[in-house]
Amino acid sequence: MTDRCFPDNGPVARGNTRITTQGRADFVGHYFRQRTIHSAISLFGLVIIVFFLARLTGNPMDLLLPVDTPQSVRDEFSARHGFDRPLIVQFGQYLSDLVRLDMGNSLRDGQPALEHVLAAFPVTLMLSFWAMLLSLTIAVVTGSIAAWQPGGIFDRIASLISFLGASIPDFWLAIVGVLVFAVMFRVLPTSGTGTPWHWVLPVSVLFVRPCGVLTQVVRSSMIAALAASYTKTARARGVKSRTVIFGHALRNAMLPIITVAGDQAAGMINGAVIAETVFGFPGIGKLLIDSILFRDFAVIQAAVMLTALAIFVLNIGIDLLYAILDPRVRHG
Amino acid sequence: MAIKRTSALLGSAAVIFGLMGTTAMAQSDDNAITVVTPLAYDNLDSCNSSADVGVVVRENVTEALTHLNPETGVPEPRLATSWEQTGPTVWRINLRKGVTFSDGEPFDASAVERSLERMFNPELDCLNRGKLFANIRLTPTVIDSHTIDISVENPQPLMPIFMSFLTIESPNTDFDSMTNTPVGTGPYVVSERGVSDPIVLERRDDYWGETPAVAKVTYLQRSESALRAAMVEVGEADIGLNIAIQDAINPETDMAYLNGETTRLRFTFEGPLADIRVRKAMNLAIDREMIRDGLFTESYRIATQMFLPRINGYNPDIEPWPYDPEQARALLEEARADGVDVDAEITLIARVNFYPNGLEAMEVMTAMWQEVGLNVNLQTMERAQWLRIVNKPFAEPRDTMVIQEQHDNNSGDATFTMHFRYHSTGQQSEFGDPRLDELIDAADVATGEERVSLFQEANAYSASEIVPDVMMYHMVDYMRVSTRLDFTPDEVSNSMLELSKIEFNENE
Repeated sequence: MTDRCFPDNGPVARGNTRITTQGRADFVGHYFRQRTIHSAISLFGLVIIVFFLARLTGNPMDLLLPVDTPQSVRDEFSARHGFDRPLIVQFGQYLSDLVRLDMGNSLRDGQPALEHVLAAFPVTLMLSFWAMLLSLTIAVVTGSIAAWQPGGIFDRIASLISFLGASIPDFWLAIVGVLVFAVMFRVLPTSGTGTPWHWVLPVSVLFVRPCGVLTQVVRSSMIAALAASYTKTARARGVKSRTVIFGHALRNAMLPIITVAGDQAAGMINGAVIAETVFGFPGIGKLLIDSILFRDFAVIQAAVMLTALAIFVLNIGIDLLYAILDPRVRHG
Repeated sequence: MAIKRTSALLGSAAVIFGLMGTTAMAQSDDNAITVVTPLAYDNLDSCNSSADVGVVVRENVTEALTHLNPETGVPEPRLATSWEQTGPTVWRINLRKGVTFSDGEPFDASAVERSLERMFNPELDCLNRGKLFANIRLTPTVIDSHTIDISVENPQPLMPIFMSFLTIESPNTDFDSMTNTPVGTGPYVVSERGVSDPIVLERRDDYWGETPAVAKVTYLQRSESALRAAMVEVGEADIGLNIAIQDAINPETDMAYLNGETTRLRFTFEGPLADIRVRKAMNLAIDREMIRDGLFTESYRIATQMFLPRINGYNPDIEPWPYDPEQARALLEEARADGVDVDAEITLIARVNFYPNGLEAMEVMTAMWQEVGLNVNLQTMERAQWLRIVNKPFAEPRDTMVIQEQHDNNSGDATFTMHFRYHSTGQQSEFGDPRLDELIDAADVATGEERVSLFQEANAYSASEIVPDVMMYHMVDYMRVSTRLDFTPDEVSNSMLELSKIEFNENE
């Protein structure tokens, strides 16, 4: 997980010194430079790891060609794709292509790998967006109400359901969802895309686990916030419960919630593998699984690269959100 | 007020669910069908039609010169109307007249010539070349507009069978790169095909043959068998391919059919496995009926050779091995007395996700061998690992192994199995036996009854005098077919799903 702190060696005034606007701008610029450098280093490391680990799993020609294919033909196919060359030479070629933003072609259909990835990525982003929106909304409302009276009936029921949600295997939930809503009641399509109804089951399967986890986090974070002196004061002054919970306590309880939500979102962007595979959603998770099974190296590498970039952007966004929500972070 | 609000909510929910139901259950066009498959067909080039993509393109989009009868395995006319061997290495093919490609180009001898040359183009990853024509170079010579000669270096009696894999594409097909929108002479055209899009085929109006009943076909991919089965059940799809045994629970729609695959365990002829008594004992120790009834279904047939009875060279006189653990123990004792180390470790190599319940079958067989006193251990391998040990050149020293295998021969002739597995030069052969080599070599160049008889003799000799494997089953697949269709799958449906064979039930 990326650390959620701004670097402490930046040109930020400390102690009692007041921060000027120029100083804050310098700080933000410095922060982005640092994060970009760190991200570039991580990305390069990732490129090396994915390239060599993928090739450790074997020659794609072994999988592409039928088992009965003579060795001479396997050798011919391997040579045409450069798989017979030393690994380090292949890596050098890959890097030189990458500099020109050429991520190679898919072994399966000869189309540019980037084209496959760019077609799949928006689907995953949309799926993740709706699932996270639903998770966060339900978790914040449920966790906050549960925290208002810890140990009460609502808290117990919410805790039980959220524990269940966090523990249910996605795959089981997906298949049961199809059997109940598509086969038994016939109110939803089993799979595929095309209408908003096709999104209901995949989003439902995808949001359950993060929602369970987040509800737990919101609850514990809110219990601490509601026990703080400022909320007690607000209550004593007769401020409405709703205002105390959502106006005072929640804002102060948001930092751990954002941290966990960020991790959950990164997991989804990484590929909502189960939901995409079961429901036939042409997203990045399904693309990655198919590419790994066929050792389609170019697509694997392009998908990992783009996913990593998205996660870096997400992390930066979360850091910025910290700064917006918490003045202590904003002012160093 | 609260009651009113609740009623409003319930009313809204009812409307929403009603609309959802309407949406989910919407039926497709009358003559359109949807086929749901477990695999993503990424490259539709007909040059790969002998691989998985054949299910979509073969005989639907692109047609071959001949067509193998799925019941008899005999080549029948398709784009070729007749053929004859005019010399030891030359075949003359007469082509069908009045046929056009779906892009309007006429079908003639020069189109056949170009398709053949394209298949042998070294710039293309053509799987048909890799699988079928790796050791055979076909040279076309155009005689006239609808006559062509095809010559080979060595006598090739199987040319009419090979011609069933020579799919002919339009002369406008790119010569140096694969295509995802093949154009052929078949009754359908690829109407939609883009990255991540489903495959859609539409019926041609100007097809040379009989007009098929199905007007439009959409191929969807869903990797889960339960989902494919559910899609047919609720009417979202009409045909679900490769339905798992546990999901094939509706006798009205779920059809079992021999899929052309045969399973076996191959001996490596190392350590105690070099002794034929040990190999026979391992066969006698297996209760094939019990495994079939416990893990598979009655539809599986116990195999005695690596291809189905409809293939040229199948020997109906070979009997399955009986289950006789007592005799197995006696053979092992006899070998032990002669100094064979029958206690040495034997590794059973199982491939993960090979076929349904395959791993469970390997576990049961391991236990059965241990029961008669053999020291067998089970090791599982992923496909890439497994491939490294099944093909020559083998790593030295070769381990004492029994290797799980599955093989399909839908090509109509035993040579596609025998040479590769049982000839001393075969890529997956573990042994060399001069008599068996002689029989296979003679059969390879023979024709007619003589060919069949020689392959039958080779099979019988191998089964009784060499015992190179533990034969298991002729395998079965399940297909779920909607009641609105009149269609029964056959032994080639897994490699070629001919849409023209599909009719609609009038009473549905």
